Amino acid sequence: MSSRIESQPSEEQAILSIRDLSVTLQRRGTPTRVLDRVNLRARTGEIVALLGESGSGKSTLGLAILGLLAAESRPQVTGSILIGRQEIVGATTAALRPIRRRVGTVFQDPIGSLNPTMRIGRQLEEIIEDGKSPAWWLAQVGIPDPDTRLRSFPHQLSGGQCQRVMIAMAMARQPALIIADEPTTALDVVVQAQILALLRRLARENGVAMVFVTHDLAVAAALADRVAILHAGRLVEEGPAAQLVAHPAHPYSATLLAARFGLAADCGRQLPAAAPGEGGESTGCRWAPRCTLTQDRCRERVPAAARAAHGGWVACHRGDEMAVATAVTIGAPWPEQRPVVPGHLLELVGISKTFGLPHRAAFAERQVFHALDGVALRIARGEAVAIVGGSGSGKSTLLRIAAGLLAPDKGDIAYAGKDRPQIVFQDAAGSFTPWLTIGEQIGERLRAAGLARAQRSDCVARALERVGLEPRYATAKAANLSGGQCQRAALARAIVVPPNLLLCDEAVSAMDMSLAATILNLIGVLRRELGMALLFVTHDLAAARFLADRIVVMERGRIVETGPAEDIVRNPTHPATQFLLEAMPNRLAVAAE
Amino acid sequence: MILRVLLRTELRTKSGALPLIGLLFITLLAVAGPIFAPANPLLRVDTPYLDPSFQHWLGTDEVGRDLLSRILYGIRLTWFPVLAVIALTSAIGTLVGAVAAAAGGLVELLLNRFCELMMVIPATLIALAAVASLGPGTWHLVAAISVFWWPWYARIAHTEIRRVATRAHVEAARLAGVGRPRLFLRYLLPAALPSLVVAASLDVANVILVLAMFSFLGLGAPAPAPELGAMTAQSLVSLTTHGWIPLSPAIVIFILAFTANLAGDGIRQRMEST
Repeated sequence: MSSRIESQPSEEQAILSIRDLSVTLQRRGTPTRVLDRVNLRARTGEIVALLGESGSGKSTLGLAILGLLAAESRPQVTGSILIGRQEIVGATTAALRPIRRRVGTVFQDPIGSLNPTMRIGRQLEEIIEDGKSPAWWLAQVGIPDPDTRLRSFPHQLSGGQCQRVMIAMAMARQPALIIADEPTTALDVVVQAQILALLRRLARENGVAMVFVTHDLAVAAALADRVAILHAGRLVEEGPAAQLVAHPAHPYSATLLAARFGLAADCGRQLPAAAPGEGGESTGCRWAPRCTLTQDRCRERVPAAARAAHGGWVACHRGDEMAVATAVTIGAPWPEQRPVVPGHLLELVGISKTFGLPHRAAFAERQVFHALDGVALRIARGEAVAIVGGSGSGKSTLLRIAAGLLAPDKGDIAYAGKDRPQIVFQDAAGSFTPWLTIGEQIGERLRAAGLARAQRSDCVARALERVGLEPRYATAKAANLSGGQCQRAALARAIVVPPNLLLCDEAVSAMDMSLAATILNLIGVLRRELGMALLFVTHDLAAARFLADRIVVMERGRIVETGPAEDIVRNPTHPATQFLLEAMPNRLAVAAE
Repeated sequence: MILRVLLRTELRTKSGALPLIGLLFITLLAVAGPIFAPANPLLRVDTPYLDPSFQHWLGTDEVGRDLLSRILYGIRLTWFPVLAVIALTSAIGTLVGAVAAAAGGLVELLLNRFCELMMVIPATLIALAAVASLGPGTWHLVAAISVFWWPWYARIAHTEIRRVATRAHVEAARLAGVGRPRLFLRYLLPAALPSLVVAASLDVANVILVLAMFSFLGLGAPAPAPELGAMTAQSLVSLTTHGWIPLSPAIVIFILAFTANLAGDGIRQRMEST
């Protein structure tokens, strides 16, 4: 549909030209249409960002371009993918081989993508065709002291350096096209900005077309010339990066943008994230069930691509109206805080905990790691406290001690509640026993309270509804739920009998932005409705500020700063807090660089 | 648990069901095989070393006994002791390993060291001592083998339960106030079952061989009894001249072990995916 719109390069100029590509994969025994009539082009020296949430089909598109769709998912591919003049769809493995040599790849896990048994230099040598030395390529990707580094094995390099090596390997084969699938997601913020700048420079200098798959709008805006937004297997909008991010023409894109929470988010309301829902098979627009602008025609017909104000195109029946700007305005208000009896709920005094490290040598003194060193913390009933700190600061250890899962070496714990605090873990799927149903596990606390079976299943259904899941999920197992659904179910388990204290251990850290926003909203709503105190452990100051009344900053097992959330963020006094603030993903700034 | 997995999920898929049907068939054969046996397995019925013919489908052995009849009886004499050893030792082992993992501290230490002790004492010595005190016989042999066989299962059960006990999903169950017996039966033990089932299915071949070894030493069923391992061992001398006499029982042993392995693998896959 987009081929009629002229924002894309014409077919002659394009290195990559995808036309009406549909992919159907076998998922859990049923064929699922993962991509639906996708059109995309990329020309020499151009970077196209393919943006989508988890499950949108963006990685499938990357794999389809490489002809690497897993055979066991029995892919059915229709349409056309041209790289240069060569057709990928339906090509034999032998025919694909010369084409693949012209396509470089950079994946999310750089350390796993390199051969661990071979020195970096050897791995580069095997690929380089143009007579340049491996050391020259390492210098190109900004690795200091390249001659020494050639002799390193992958495990001796940092994640960022491994990704640089992967980029060197992708570039060294002189590709016409590079597919980069979330190459910076596993890296920390500072390194991420460097890698993005490097990719951009190399793509320009070498005249390579790049398809950059990501879930992060800011990264896409920082790097790409054009952005294509993928929702539920369909491209909904495409246009020049800067203009599209400034003026999205599709309500879905607008929602994605609004769901990015930063240090300026309004804490007095919920984040403006779209309500969760499942895009079922419908005859119309797949965003329609969750869109605030839905009309009858949205449900009936798939919208055609039309020219958008930002110079690209948009597939929305109402994309030409000013309405999109109002699709997302402000988040819903918080529910009223349930009154609580004043007083302290949890009091930790002088908590210390050390872990023994393995012996380094037979006669060496045994090393210990001071995870916590004299920590004192008080939480009032109904109060929300966030513990913020880098990895190894002891924040998770403190949470486990508060939960009673770990005994401190020294110190006192006084918990005024009669129940046990409940934890929501980072790995939501891993916090459910795979062979038991979700409902049975949510019901465990009711069983402990002595409820009969029928009453239990009633309560479980109500808890599931409360977190926005249909009661039928009670009979499902964790493997059948998505990451976001698992985290909702974990919240349902925690609140099926509302605890006095809810503990969250990096509960949204592994999620993409818009999903994280919906879970943060849910936690905020539940704690107010149920009058629970909240202890929220995170490394993300924006999430901490959004949820908590008070922020506690930890570094190397000690509390270094504490105060009202807003004060900590506005006027940090301790260097550790300042460092955390500087590392905040304010990545839109990268674009200006 | 295992039975439910078998009945509910396994039989639904054809590929998984096939080895299980095989196991069932073998067990049926072990029960009913002797009905089909054309001759008495212990008596001489014809000239020794007869080639397979219509009258004797697998020929006759070095004494002149009908080989097919001996094998049909032999399956019974081999299969049930094997099943008994595996059922007994995996049950005892799981119990010991689970108690060790659940108790922790000194109990765990002592039980683990005791398992290691049982593992390092030469098995033959224990079995010899046991059979010597009990007297020869198949069921005495089962007891004797079981004595040194269980620590391997204890080891597996112990490590698997320890491994899963610190996982987030078990911690979540603890926080939910799940009682100890229930935590153990529903949350911890199922984690060890896949490994135990695979170990047990791979063990079938081992136990058959050990049974054969002890029968060969005269500690199992007394000499003329048609035990498959013993039949192979005793007629090995005629391998070059009348190959089918040692090979026929050996092939049956192979089929038993192979079917058990396939079934174990199938069960493991189903358990891990549910």
